[in-house]
Order: sequence, then C-alpha cells, then structure tokens
Amino acid sequence: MKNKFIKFVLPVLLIATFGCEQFIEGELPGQDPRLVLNASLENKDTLKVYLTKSRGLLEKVDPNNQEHKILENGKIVLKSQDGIVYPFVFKARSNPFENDAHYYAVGVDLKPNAQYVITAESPGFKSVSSEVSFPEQVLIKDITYKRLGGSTNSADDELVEISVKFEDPPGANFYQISGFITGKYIGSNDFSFISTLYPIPVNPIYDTEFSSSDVILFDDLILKGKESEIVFRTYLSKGVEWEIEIDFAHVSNSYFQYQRTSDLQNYNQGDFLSQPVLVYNNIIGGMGIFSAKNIQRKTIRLTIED
Amino acid sequence: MLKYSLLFVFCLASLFVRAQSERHTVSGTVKDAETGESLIGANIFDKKSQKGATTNNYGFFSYSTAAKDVELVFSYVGYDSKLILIELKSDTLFTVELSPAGLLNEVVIEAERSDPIQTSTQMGSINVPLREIKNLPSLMGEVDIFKIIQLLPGVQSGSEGSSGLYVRGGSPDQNLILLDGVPVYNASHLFGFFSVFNDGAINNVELIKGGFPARFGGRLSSVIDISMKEGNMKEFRGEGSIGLIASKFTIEGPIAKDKTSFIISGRRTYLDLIARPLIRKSTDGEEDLGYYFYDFNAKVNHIFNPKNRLYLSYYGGDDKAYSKYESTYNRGDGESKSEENVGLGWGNRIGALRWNHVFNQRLFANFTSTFTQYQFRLFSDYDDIFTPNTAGAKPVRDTYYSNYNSRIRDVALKADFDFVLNPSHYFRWGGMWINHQFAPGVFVSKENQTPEIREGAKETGSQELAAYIEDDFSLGDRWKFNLGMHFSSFLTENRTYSSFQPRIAGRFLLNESSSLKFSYVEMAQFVHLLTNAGLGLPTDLWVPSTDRIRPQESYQFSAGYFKKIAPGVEFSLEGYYKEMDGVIEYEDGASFLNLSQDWQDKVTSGEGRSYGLEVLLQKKTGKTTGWVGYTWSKTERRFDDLNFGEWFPFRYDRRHDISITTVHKFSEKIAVSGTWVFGTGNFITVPTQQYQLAPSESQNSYWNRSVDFFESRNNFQMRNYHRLDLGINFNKVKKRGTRTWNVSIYNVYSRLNPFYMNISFDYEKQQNQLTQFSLFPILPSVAYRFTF
Repeated sequence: MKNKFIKFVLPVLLIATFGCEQFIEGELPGQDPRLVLNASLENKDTLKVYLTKSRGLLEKVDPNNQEHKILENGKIVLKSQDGIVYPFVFKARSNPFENDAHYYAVGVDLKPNAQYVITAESPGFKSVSSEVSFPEQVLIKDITYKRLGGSTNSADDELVEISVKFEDPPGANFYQISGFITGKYIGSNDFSFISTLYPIPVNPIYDTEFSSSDVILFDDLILKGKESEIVFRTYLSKGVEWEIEIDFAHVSNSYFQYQRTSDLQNYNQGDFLSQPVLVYNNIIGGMGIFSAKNIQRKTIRLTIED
Repeated sequence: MLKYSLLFVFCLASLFVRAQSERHTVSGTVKDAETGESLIGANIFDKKSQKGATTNNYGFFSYSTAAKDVELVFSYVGYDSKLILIELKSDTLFTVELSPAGLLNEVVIEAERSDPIQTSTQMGSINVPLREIKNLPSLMGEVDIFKIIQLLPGVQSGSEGSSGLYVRGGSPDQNLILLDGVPVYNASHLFGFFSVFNDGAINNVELIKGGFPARFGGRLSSVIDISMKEGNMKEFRGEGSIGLIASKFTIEGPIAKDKTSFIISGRRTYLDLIARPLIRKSTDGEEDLGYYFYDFNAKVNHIFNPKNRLYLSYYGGDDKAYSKYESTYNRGDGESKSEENVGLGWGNRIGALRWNHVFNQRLFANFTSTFTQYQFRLFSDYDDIFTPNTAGAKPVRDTYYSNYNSRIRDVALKADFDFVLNPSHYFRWGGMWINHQFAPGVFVSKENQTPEIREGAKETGSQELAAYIEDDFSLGDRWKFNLGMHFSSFLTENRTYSSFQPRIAGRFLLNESSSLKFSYVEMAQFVHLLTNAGLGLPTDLWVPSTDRIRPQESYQFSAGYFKKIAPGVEFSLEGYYKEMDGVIEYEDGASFLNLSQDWQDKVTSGEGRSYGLEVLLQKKTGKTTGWVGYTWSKTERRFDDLNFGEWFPFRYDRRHDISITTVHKFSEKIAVSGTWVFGTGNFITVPTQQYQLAPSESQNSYWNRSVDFFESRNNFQMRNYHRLDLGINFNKVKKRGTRTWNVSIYNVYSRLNPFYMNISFDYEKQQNQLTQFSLFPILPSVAYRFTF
C-alpha cells in the first residue's frame, strides 16, 4: 500500500514542482531578415542613406560585435515626381573612427512640396520602397533672446531665453529646433566651449520626458495661427562670448513620428510594466524610415559677463 | 429613427390593453417550503387559459384574468410542482411554498429557470444554480461561481486560473457584477484566481450577455446578477467546507419564525497561518510574511406584513499580503533597532438597504439605498531607532513611510416598479441616482520631519442619473416582445453626458418546441477600468469619463434559434454583432507607476468590434447532466494613437472556444464529474526583429542602438489552451445533515498552458529565446463539506 502511494504521489508532486516554465524554440514567426532603409532628405549637398538588414530576435548574435550588418551590394535609387532619377553610391568605412558606412548621392535637387520615391534592392532580399514629400522651408522671421539672470543650478551659469518667430503654413506641420554652441572666454581668441545646444522648452507641453534633451520636436497643434513662435531656454557660462547656431527645421510627419516613437521605445527599455512601443515605419516591404527635413540655420552672438 | 420606432411600438402596444374593470388578480410570493427563501423565476401557469407569469427577483408574481376560476400550476426546477384551484371573486394575495424534489432530479445548469428556453423573449441569458456546481471539479477545493460562468459559450476566461470574464469581446470592466443589486468593482481574490463570491451565501446567479432589458444599464457587455440568500425563515441551518487553502462556514436561521431571518457567512484562507511558524523559525523570529484573503457576508430580512419587507445586506472582503521585519543590530558605537512593515491590500465593502412594497395586486415596488467601495493600498513603513553607547547621548530616530492608494466609492438610491397589467403586459420602470467618488492613484510619502509629499491624481466626484421603462408583451400566440428605453446621464466637473438607449427583443414561436429570437440593444458606460495587462490585477484603476475621456457606448444585434429537443434537453444557436466606442487603453509606452503624469495623459480612446456564433446543447435532468458549448468569435480594437490607427486583435480574441461539462450520479452517494475546455491562444505584443536605428541630431552614437520591431500590437498568438478536470463526490446523509468528500484533479494531463510569455536572453547560448510561463500543472485537491 505504501509503495503504491509513493508510486502515485511522487510523479504528481514532481510534475507540480517543475512544470511551470518552458522554453519554446523557433515558435516566433517573422524571423527572416528584411532590408532596413534609413534615409532622410535634407537640403544639404550630399544625401546619405543607410542600408542594413534586420535580424530575427531569436538569431544568435556575436557578443563582441552586435552591429547590424551593412549591405554593400545594394542598389538604391531616388526618383523625383518629375521623373529625375538619382542613383546612390556606396561608401565603405574609410577608417576605424568612421563607423557609418553609407550610400550617398550628390546634387539632388529637392523641390518644396514635391514627392520623392526611394527604392532599394539587395540580392537575397525583397526590394523595399517608400515615399515622402519634401517640406517647404519655413523661414525664421526673427530670433530674439533675453537674459534671465543667474542660474539656481550653478553660480557660474546664466539662463538665457531665446524666441524663434516664424510663419506656420496651412495644414499640419512639424518642426525641430536643434543647434550648436561655441564660446570664447572674454578677451581670448581660442574657443574653449564647443557643445550641442540643449534647448529647454518654456511650454511644458513640448518637454516630453522621453525625448532627447538636445532637440525640441513639436507639431503645430497649439501654435497660434500663422504668426508663431517657439520659446526655449538654455544655460550659458558667464564670462564667455557665445555664438549660437540655431537649426530650425520643417520636418515631415514621418520624421516626427519616427523620432517620437524611437525615443519613447528607447526610454522604456527594461521597464516591464510599461506598454510596448511600436516605432513608426514607412518602408514598404522592409523596415526603417524615409523622412525629410528642410533646415534653416541662423546664428546669434551674445556676451555674458562675469 | 430607432427611438421614434420604439415610441411607435409602445403606442401600438397600448392599443392591445383591454379594459381591466372585470378582471381579478392573483398575486403573491413563491417560496421554498423548507427554508422560506424566495424562489426567483418560478413559473406560474394557468392550465385553463394557457397563460402564466414568472416570479421576479423577490419571488413576487402577479396574474390577472377575466375568468371566474383558474387552475394555477406553480413550478420551479428541482422542486415538486403544486396545483392550486382558485375561484376568483376578488383580487387574491397569498404565498405558495414549493418543496424540493429528490436529489436525482437536480439539474446542473438551466436556462431561464422553469421558463422553457423557447418561450421567453430574453436571449443570451443563463441561470447558474449554485446547489449544482458543487458537484463539478474545483481548483484547490474552492468552488467558484465565475469559473463555472467561464464554461458557458460567449464567455471567455482571461489567463490561466484567473476568474476574469470577457463576454462577447468585452473587457472585464464592461461586466455589471451586481451583488443584491449593488455593483462590485473588483470581484477577484488572489490576483484573480478566485472570485469574491462565497457560494455558501449565494442564492442565485444570472448571466445576461445580450438582449439586455432596459432595467439594466451602466455597462456594455454583460450583467451578472447575484442574489444573496435571505436566511432560513423556518429553522437554523448551517453549512461549511474545509479545503486545501480555505475554509468557509455559513449559518442561517429565523430571528422570529416566518417574520425575520438572518444569514452570516465567512471564508478565509490559511496558508499564512500554516507558514508563519516555519517562517519565524527560519528567520530567528525576525521576519513574518504571508498572504491571505477573507470575505464576510451578512443579511437580515424582516417581513412586516405581506405587503412590506425590509432587507439589509452587507459584504466585506479583503486580500492582504504583508511582510514584517524586526531586527536589532549592534553597530559598535550603539544599538540600532529597526522595524519595517511592507504590504499591499485590496478589498470591497458593499451594503444595501432594500424595502419591498406591494402597492396593490399588480404593482410591486423596490426601494434601495446602496453603498459600494473598492480600495487598493500599497504601503511601506520604516522606523529605526539608534541608541548610542555614549553616556548622555540622545537616541536618533529615522522614519519613512509611503502609501499608494486608489479607490472608487459609490452611494446610490434606486426605485424599481413592476406593474403587471395583465398576462400579456408586464411593465417595469424605475430610476437611480449614483454619487461616484474616484481616487485613481494617490501616492503619499514622508521622511523624518520633512513635509509630506503627495503625488498622483486628485479625488474627483461625479453624479450619474438613470431611468428606464420596459414592457414585456405578447402579440397573439407567436409573437412576444420586450421593448424598453434606458436613459442615463453623467455629470462631470465641466461636462454632462447623456444617453438614450433603446432595447428591443422579440420572439417568434415556430412551434411548441422551437422559436426564433432577436434583439437590438444600445448601452452606455461612464466608468472605465485602466488596466495594465488585462489580468484584473488589483492595481487596475477605476476612472470616470471626463471632459477629455468620453463614455463608452455600444450597440449589439443578436439573433438565434432555440429548441427544446426533449424534456430536459435544450439547444440554442445565437449569433451576435457588437460595436463599441470610447473604450480606453494605455498609450504606447505608458506605465501606471508614473505618478507624475495625469492618468488622462496616459490613455487613448478608441473603438472595438466583435462578432460570433454561440452553440449550447444542454441536458438538464436525469442521472447524467451537463452541456457542450462552442463559440466562434472575432474581436478587434482600433485607436487613432495605437498601432498607427490600424485595427488589431483584442488580447482575448479567441477564434474557437469549446467547453464540455458533465456530471454523472451513480447513486445518491457517488457523483463523478468532468470538464474539458479548449480555447485558441491569447494575443500578446512581442518584438520579432531588431534593426538599425536611423541617425539623427539627437542620437550621437546611434550605430549601436537597435529598434525592436513589432509587426503590430497583439501580433503574437500564444499556444492554444486546453485542460481536463475531473472530480468525484462522496456524499453521506447523516442524522444532522450531509457530509461530502470532494476529490478534484485540475489539469489532469498536466498541460502546460501559457500564463504569459516573454523574450529572455540566454547568456550561455548568447541569444534570445522565447519563454513561456505556466501556472498550474496537474493539481489534485480534496475538500470536505458538511451541512447541518
């Protein structure tokens, strides 16, 4: 009787104890790699495009090299709405410090509000394509600044408020403010300060927790009609002659959506209680982003005495 | 347009109202002869006129006729019928008592109680008699009403073991769970594994999943109407059970025979009490941790006279998990004595005071005042006193406490009237006022003497008003309709939402044994449940509709074929289409722990749709009873701000859902039972690929950053769920009641069903892998039950 009891009870207890976790191999669908195209149309001399391949989440990764594989034998073409075709040329890494091998095209004539279609092919992959409208340039009408006095964070810094005025065109528009600052100690000829601009929006609605601190990305939902402005603040050291380059970009919807969602996904990495974030993707047949931005740069100079 | 049509049909109906001057009315109450409990839904049938009536939720009936005498048959499933001949000279008011029939005549599940499935207008409604579910296999010896409801077509369970209900594509917050007419906001114990309803205190459970009569409102997807026992009017009775994790005890009896009765019922788990000595021993008495839940039901009712009756009912239940830690530490320069209490708890408090009044033979009224509260609390309390060795030095005290609290509290007044004009017209009307108080997540902390810090949402109040009217009427012998209108209004701080909701249900009798039915209903819901994982966790927040968050609304059309195949054997086939608007979800990336953000900024409103086909074949009488249910359904959601505005499958979109349930009674001493369930897997959102992030000004070292690629929201379907449970009951009738041993085996073939899945990194293999977590492999249990 005792033996029968043990024979019956023991397997039940063993199953009950060890039966709660299970690894499932190869059940995740959609593991085949696809083309990843990251491209942005910008009013610059050279356009850069990045062609890589995705990897299945269950794919084995070299722990010493987790870079995504760059595809060198791709064929990438940009076509304007009036039929002009711009082929892209591959440029490999030229030295260890240049880690962004890419495809490039020069002399692309980007017309405001014109549609552009990009296609990419690479042997072994399904070709991909996408389309974007190049936004018109929104001109900066005026840039003003005012000094708000000493900073509470540091006695060596002063808070400066900068206002960028512009005309918001009809329809839904998206913008980005970024910049670069350089500074020389008063009386010195050497640049002692070279840094990215860290703009802090005055309106908290633009101050999203998850976004990078070196840009302000915003839409025109709460702008007050045609005559609009974006106001931001930044900390600048005292005793320095400052030169502030402000990049004001009119960006495509795809750019706005992609930056927002990729920043949010990055911000939430590791937080298992947060909802998953789907990063915006407008590449048909693959992954990545095809976006556009029309940048206008203005520089202001100011000296902040000790 | 529909509203005008409804008005027209009401006018039309009034044309059928005949002169009432020469009519007499028989009315009264139908009760259990042994206990004095009101029998809800008992059938009254006049053999002469071939017409009849049904008792309402308080056992009241009214039947009027122009005939001089009637032959009334009173019947109720599981009870012996009674024939009463009455010569009608005037209106008559009396009480009928029915005696329970023998054990072998019991049923497992019945539809519309005694009312045959093919005759009533109500569709999508199932009644679950509690006496019978005790024969079915249980999880850890605990009989659970919700687990039985999950076995019915059109109702889907959430995750493994949970008691969450997903009715016709709806979310758990869209179920109006009523205990004695009072809403229960969180019906779960032990993180959803058990419901809060102790079967020992419950008299009747009715599930309505479509064709809602106008008297119900406030939720989109279902009504689960649970009535507590009233208490035995005749003699003292008791019952109890001792299970693996919990025990319960119920006692009821008369305070004044046939006048006043009471019932008290309690349940508590005791894993914490068993484990406490072991934990204290292993930690040298420094630590004490545990978890328990309890619930307590009480009800008193008093019959003043045949026309007036008063009920007072109460429910209180809590779940508590706690950790207490005490330590004394000698630092060298002194002694530090610290005490830390950490815990979480949640629970409901429900109360109702109800007055039944019979105005006259045809007009029955019910006046109710109710209170309901659900509260969740997470707390931490730390106190440390350091006493230096140095003579004269003062002790140093270090304290910290934090408390996270969320709560919803309602106070309501309600009046309901039943007016039986004649056997062809049964009118109901009424109104309700609810004062809601919401505190959706408040965090308070304080460290030493620093000021208290408060974060999270502020407490808000809202008023809800509702009124309804409905008529259940016949047009000839074949057509029967239930037409109604429900009006509700919700007053927030700056905005008022109003909603007119037509309710139409019809039946066409094909022949004596079969009918076709259809219904169209519109529903509105002004409260939302903000849920993180859809698991029915206690952390889920109840929030109101606001200026920014609109109410939920739905319409549902259903039609079906109903047939009585043989005595006690019924078949139904129902199809439905439902659309919902205003359903809410957390936005991408939102987390309920982020208290600095207003909850309204974390959610988005959208729409949903669900359609399906439900088949139910049930055998209700005989030695072998049970049912086979099958549901084919599809449920989707769409939000402007989620999944880039595209439709995606609901987490519990289950294409196929099958349940087979059977009980076979070999004799009065032994009954065996089994259930088998199958459901296609739930949907979850998991990344399938990773790819290179695009460069931008804001990301300097972009090259090593990857993007997780999700095909869509809820892109991955977990494995199918299936499980077999078996049970056996050994009954023994003793001098003072019965003794029953129940042996159950949950998940007999130990299927590892998915509870949740995630992607984890295997450092040995240097690659990600998909991991499934299951909760319950095979789980045998024993319970001992007794009555006296």
